[in-house]
Amino acid sequence: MPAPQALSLASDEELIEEFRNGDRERAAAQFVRRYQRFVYSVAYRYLGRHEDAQDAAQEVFLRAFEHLHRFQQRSTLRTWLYRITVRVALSMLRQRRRLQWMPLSQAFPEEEEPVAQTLTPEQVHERQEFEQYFLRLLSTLPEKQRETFVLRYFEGLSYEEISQMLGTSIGGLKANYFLAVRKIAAALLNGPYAEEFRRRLPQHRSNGAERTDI
Amino acid sequence: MEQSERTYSRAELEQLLADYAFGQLPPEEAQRVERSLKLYPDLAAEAELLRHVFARLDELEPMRSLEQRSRNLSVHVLQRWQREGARQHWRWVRLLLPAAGLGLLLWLGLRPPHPEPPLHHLPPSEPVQQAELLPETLPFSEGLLTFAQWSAGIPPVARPPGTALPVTLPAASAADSLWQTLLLELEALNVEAAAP
Repeated sequence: MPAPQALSLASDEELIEEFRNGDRERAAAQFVRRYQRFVYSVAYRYLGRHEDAQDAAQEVFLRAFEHLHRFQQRSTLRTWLYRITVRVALSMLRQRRRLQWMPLSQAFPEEEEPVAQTLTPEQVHERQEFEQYFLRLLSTLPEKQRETFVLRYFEGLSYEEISQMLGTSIGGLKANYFLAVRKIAAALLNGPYAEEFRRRLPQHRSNGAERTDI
Repeated sequence: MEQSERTYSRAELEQLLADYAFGQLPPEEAQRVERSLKLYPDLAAEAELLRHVFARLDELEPMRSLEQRSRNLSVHVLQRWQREGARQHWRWVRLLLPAAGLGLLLWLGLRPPHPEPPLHHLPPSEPVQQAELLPETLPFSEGLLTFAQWSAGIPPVARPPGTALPVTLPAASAADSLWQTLLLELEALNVEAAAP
């Protein structure tokens, strides 16, 4: 029996065409694999819980499959998915009203982490703690700054694409990005992990970091 | 001075500083920022600080678990999609069954209890004409008689009000009492009729 043919569609346009007129299941599988991390992380930033983010991400892809044949390509697939994800996440938030009454320490509760194979249990634990701290730190930023930072820094999107997603001018996004980066750096250098971050600074910077101009 | 040789203002540099520190600028723009930073040493120092802080942040991989947690998402999504796709095939059946049941109930509830006599035997104008000739209220036996006359094609006879019928209705105990009653009534009117 021949091995199943691997489908590698280079562009989103090819993927959409394959979904509409070709092998739908293969196109759908590639579509999800291409955007699953993106959709999941957006949902997680809004919902703050792994299970909720999973549910939301599944819902997003099912809605996308339902409407993909009508997708006009006026924006990129990623932008379109971002909008669906935000709508789904906000709808779930409205239904559950969970984060409204939660203190920030509970907005991103500690969850059981998938175990990384190459790390010792102590390292895994330390990273879990740092990740929880970092997510809480992100949640203290104003929403536009947080979204701009994550989409630019972690997702590597262009300002043009982020502008389409958030409906903010490119100048405004650059300002938001810089402000977010400044605040995060200041928090890391002055928070519970300050020692960790100062240790890596060049000597002449670490001495003056307390009175940092950030 | 060419556009590429012009240095950035402080406000412009601030907008580009993070991208410059993280290597997210195209080479030409990065060189221009570098030239401009010589005029603003505090911003140059800040760019260096940001580079180190975020390099350490990258090592700690604060988004790593998101990557791991979303890894199996495609499997769940595709399974759910297939399940829901299978359900779509039965969706019409699920919609039609209650509609059909409702239709059946309505038909049973609204249909007449007995079938109407076939109207095509009657001339279209006659029932109307006969109906117009009927008095407003009739005792049962008189109504029965009128009906019998109308059925036999006999023109109605004007009766003075209060006149008693020539026959008395028998006790309706026999199975053919209705027909017998009709015969008696017709006989009283000198109409010849035969039982079927």
